[in-house]
Amino acid sequence: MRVTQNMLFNNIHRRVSNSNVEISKYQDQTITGKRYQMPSGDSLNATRALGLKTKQANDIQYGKNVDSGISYMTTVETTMSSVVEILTEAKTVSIHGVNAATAPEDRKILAAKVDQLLAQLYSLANTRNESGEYIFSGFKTSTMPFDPTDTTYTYAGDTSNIQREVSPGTKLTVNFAGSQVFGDGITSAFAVLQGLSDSLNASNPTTDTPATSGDITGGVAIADLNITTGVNDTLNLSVDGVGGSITIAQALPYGSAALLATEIQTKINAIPAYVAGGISVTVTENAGVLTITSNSTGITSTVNTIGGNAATNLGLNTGVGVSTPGADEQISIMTRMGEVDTALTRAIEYHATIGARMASFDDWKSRLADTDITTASLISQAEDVDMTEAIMNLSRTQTAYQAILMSSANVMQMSLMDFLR
Amino acid sequence: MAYTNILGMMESGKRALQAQQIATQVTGHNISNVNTPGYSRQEAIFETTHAVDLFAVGQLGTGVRIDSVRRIHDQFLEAAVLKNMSKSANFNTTFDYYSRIEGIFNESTTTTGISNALTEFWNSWQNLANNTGGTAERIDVREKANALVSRINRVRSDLVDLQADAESRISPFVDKINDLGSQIADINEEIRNSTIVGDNPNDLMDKRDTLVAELSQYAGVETVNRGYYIDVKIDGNYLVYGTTHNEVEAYTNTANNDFTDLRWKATGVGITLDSGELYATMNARDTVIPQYMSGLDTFAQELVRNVNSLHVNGLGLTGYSSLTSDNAVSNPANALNASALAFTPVDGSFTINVTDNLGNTVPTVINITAGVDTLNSLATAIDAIADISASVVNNRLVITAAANRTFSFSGDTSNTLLALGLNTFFSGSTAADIAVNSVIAADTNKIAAAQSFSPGDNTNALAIAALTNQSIAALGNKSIGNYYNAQIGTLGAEAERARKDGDLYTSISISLKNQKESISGVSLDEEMVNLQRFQRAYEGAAKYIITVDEMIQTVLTLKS
Repeated sequence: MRVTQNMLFNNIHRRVSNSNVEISKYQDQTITGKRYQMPSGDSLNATRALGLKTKQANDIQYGKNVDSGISYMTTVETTMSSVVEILTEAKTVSIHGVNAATAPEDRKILAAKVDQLLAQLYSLANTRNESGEYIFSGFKTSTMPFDPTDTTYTYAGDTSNIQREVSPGTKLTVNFAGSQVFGDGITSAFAVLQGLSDSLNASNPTTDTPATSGDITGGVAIADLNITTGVNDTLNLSVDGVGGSITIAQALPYGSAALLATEIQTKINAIPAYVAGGISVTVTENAGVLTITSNSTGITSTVNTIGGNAATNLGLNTGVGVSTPGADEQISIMTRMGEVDTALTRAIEYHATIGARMASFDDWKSRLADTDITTASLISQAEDVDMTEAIMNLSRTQTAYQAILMSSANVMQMSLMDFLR
Repeated sequence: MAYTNILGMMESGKRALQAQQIATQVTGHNISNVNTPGYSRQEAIFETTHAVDLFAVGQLGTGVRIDSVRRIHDQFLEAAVLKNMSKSANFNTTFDYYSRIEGIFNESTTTTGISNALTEFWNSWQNLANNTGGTAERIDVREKANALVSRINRVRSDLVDLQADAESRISPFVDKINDLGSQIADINEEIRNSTIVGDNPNDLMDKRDTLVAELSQYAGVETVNRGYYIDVKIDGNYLVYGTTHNEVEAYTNTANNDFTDLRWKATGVGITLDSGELYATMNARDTVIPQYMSGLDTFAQELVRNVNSLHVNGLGLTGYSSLTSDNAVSNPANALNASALAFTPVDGSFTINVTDNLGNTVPTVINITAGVDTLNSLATAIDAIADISASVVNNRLVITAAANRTFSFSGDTSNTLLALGLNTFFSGSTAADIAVNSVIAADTNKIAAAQSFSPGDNTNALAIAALTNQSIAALGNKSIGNYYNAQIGTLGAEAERARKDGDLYTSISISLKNQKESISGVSLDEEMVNLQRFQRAYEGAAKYIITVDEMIQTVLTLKS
């Protein structure tokens, strides 16, 4: 092949320029630590790295969600452990109270103690987190879940789950509704503590006075009873939440109101559902007025005369007769102790649940940390340069560049003109 | 002529001197043009002059003459060089555009691209879900959304600028092509004229080759050697035919977005190129850039559709006391699905909830039959609801609540809220006009993190954040982020391919140029040797003349 000087010069020019391109590439690599600067440098790995970085950023966010969940649950957990302590203490108090050796004046001191515990329990139930949100109100974070002035102990929040997304599609709940932890209404821990305090204050705290159906007024004199079979002989009622129905026989000679009372009591206590549920009533008569009383000994005992046409004739009011513990209707400390225990068990259960949930969040946290390491190393594989290799490449190209320059300098000097004189 | 004489010998000596002189001059011309682009080295062709017949001796030579000055040139190689040149120009220009597009998207190893902004946007919803009451979290959602849309807007407008830049290059290219075409036609004529009178217009041929080479960089050409002429074809038609130049015209093509396209001025027939810088520029303008524009638009549209579809059914911390729909209909008397809205309503319903200052909420279901209901009828239906009024102002729906009342929306199955832009997060529907809804921009309490008025409700924020992993049917079952990343992957792969093709054709070009240089290039060493050779020959011829002269003198001495 014929080689001209211009070819030589062109080649030198091209090689020097190629060499410069290489040097600049390896220099970029050593400076940035990345194999390529733009996706076209290595589109396959660049696309991979882009996807991995999205995943990494997502995982970091999931990590933040987990942290946020843990921080939320730490408040819940701390509160729950205090709740458990308070109810445990209430239980201890009730044990002291139930002891026959405890003097009535000591019981009053214990009652004051329970009042104090109740106040603390309210403050715990109404705990707010660092953002000023009530933690036991569900989504209604600005609503106080249990108002201490509310004598019905009604839960004011909702039962929504506050959740944190810890991985795509996996949402974990971080809160408990107040109604779950403390109960709602007359069965709530507040009602129980109030009841314990009342029982301790009561004059005869060791006997139960069961609930009654409430006042039954406007009694009709027995003589005026006009019961016709199949027309107005039915009495519907509900005792302790269980419905039942009896028929009053027309033919029976009700010589006295007391006989009628006995008849009704027998019939109610014979209702199969009541026999099965251990439910029974006592029916008394006083100057022609009937009173139906549940024999249950809890504060939950109710009698509800739903109606039926006989009810009107008997002068029984329709409506709920809920026992309200008070001076006259007492529930024994022993019963109260059982109720406190139920509330305590419930609190312990949720305390354990929150512990388990936190452990699961910790699991997610370490799993995310592991994934993060994997993702980071995959990103590194996709875009990071092997520094040793980059530096070696850089010095190799530099050497090559020097060789090109040196040989070029020699070649360029050569000319036949130097020899022709 | 059967004799020779001494004066004839003198004549052949003179011829030898002349021939060596011409050869030396050609060498000098070569040396002078060693760096002239497109120059092909020339060679003086020596030829013996006619011999004389000498009786009993045979033929007797009468010396030398220069037959011609030959241009050393390989026309087939030249054609290969041209072809490669247009391909190499094509791919290198294409790569230029790809790398500019890459620069615009800027999805490098840093965090300056849309991809990163999108991830941060989703994550801001997670942070809001973690603390729905937090003002900082709400502002963060708004700001991350602003950062995202401004990046999308910027990329889109930069792509438009790049397209306009490509467009602005077309006309100058066409001028250049016409200029070259007319020059080639002129040179064709000059070559013909001088060839007819017996000249060897070597330098003109070189010049013509240079012009054709320059032309082939701009557009792929086909050359036809026809006698004196080189004819040049573009897209199968003659740009240059002999001494005629057919002009290429740049015209505004209404069928192609009013861009400049090419046609033959004389016939009006359109020209489709297949390689060269001009082709690459037009291809970038018509295919490459629009591809990424439409990809970005689809991405933006699905982002708006999916975020808004969830947002319209959510609730902010406060309801609206008055609200104007974001998107105007073309005519409030037209059916909603024929109102030129970016998102089309379908049959379905949505609920308007009117809440008084005590927190009591009255829901009213509005049924939508998309092909029947109009904006006017919708306004009438909403107006009929107690404690709110609705009207159509400037083709937009305006809903206003009575005193101490607010309203909110839920359960939209008809896309009406999305289409009209009521309680949306984003406004707009393309990469060019996507923005954070002005209502949200003004009041971050309107960001719908909840699906109830409870301040701790984070269900909607979680639902929107979950879009990050949700596959979207309209995006080929990719998530919004993955769809975008796939676009970048395609861009990278195509740019990489264009670069590698460019490198390949560049190296082929270099090798062809070297081959051409090897044949046509001037070698100084060679010329030096030739110079020496011709000088020695010249010296020899001079010596011969002196010898002949001495012989003549000898003859003249005989006489005296």
